Amino acid sequence: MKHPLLAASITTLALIACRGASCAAPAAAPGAAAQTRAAAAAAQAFLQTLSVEQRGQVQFDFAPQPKAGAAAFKGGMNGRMSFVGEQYGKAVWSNYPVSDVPRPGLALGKLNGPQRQAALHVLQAILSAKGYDKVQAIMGSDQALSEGGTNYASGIAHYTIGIFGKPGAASPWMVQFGGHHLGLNVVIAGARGTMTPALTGAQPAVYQRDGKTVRVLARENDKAFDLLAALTPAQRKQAVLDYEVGDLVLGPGHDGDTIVPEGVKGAALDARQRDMLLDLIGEWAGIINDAYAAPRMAELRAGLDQTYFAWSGPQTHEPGKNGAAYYRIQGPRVVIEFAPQAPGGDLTMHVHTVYRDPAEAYGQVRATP
Amino acid sequence: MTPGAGPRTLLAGCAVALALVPASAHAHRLDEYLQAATLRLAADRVAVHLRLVPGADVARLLWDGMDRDGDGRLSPAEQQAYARRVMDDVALEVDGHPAPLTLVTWSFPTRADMAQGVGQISLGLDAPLAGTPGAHRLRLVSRHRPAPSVYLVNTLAPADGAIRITGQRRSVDQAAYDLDFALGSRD
Repeated sequence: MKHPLLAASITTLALIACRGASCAAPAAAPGAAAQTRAAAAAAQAFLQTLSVEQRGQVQFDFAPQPKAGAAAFKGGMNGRMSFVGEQYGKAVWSNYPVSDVPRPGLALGKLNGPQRQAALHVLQAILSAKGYDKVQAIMGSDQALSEGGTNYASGIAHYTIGIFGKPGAASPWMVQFGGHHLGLNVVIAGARGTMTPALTGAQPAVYQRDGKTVRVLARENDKAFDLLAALTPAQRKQAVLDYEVGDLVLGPGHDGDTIVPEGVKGAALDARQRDMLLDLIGEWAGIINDAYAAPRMAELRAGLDQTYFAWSGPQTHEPGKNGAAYYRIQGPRVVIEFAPQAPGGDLTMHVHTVYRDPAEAYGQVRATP
Repeated sequence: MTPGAGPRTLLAGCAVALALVPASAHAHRLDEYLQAATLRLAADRVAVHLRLVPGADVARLLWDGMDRDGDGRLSPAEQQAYARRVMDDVALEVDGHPAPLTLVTWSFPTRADMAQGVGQISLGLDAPLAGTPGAHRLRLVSRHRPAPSVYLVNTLAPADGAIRITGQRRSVDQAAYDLDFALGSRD
């Protein structure tokens, strides 16, 4: 099914001025100003549910930084390991659990019922319905992991929200929400909203809830396999790498790094394949609210000719399960990696993904090579 | 139910873990050694950054070899000694000729951290390039394998417009890497 944002992106395409990687910020989509007002109202309402002490724990300054850095945290495995998160000012995100890489803010488990509902309402206000469902599925996965037994902090209660800056339309502010396998950095600046960098993931990738099977990041998996299958033999030869990729290349701590791209180039794809690629990218770009995502999809479409799709690993997967293949999408305004993970023993049940914009991170426009 | 889409009332409901979840799930590498190399190319030099992340079980093995005097601390000399061991196992060639790597920067977890275990080790290496215009080939091979290893090797997109990457090849496990590039004339 074509992503609903594709149609919107076409109309928004005319609004942006873009020259390769030097893209000007796209014009806001219709409704984006109202979206910002709603997001700010939700954040303010959440803050008002908190005590003064709690507000001090959840609110932080949001000052522009030249670049995010890799920050190491000691802990876990009886203190025998240190873990890396990406730190931007006081904000921190990572693929690791919060017991290994502490996130600034308040964990859901530290909030009472109304406070937790208000926190989740902030997420609903800044994310699309599909994006919110994706977040719920990721947290549900970690809850299932927790109930199976872990020696680190796991489960929904550990997901943490932080508010950086003053919610409103006057100046940029950020909502950071995350925990194990989740790192969202949503920056709202006037009528624009961005969500790079971001991390999603799951372990277990398939679990049962309320008698139903939930497969986390299933569309990210299935759409990628569909795109691979839609390539011609010649295109597939370009796309499929002849080496193994065992982890994220541009995970936490790699802000500003742009690697030499590999794979099949968007310019070599036909119209249907290009739509499939954009639709796949939309699984990350569409996590944020539609009003913010529409101009983002337009800038991604504008850079599609220069966007590469690379694949490493098995080219088929079992129905109802994610595959064991790594893939990367890399263009002037996007880096996406989907990296199955060995820990846990089953590559199809543990995955990390990262989503970046080489030209814009944490709401800051960057120079790119 | 649409794959990947969960009900929006998760917190009100109960997530039930069934047999699909392993009894003891590990979030981290245990017995693998992640060795990630990132190359940054300039006209007259190549910088190689090694990010070494031992799994928990590997960390203990490494520590025993690094803390040579067994005092429970990792001295600067011991840090450099381990860096040299890694460098002895890493070979760089440019246009078929060995290119000696120089250790420029290194960081290990703090002494207190190291007393508890090994974390991420970062080594910054450097080698000069002749800077001759034309086509060149760089080859990086790592034989550093104190434990089962996962290798990653990538080159950052050059900031210098006179450098053009023309090809990359890797062994299946990424322990060996060939990079073809062209240097434009500056005249």
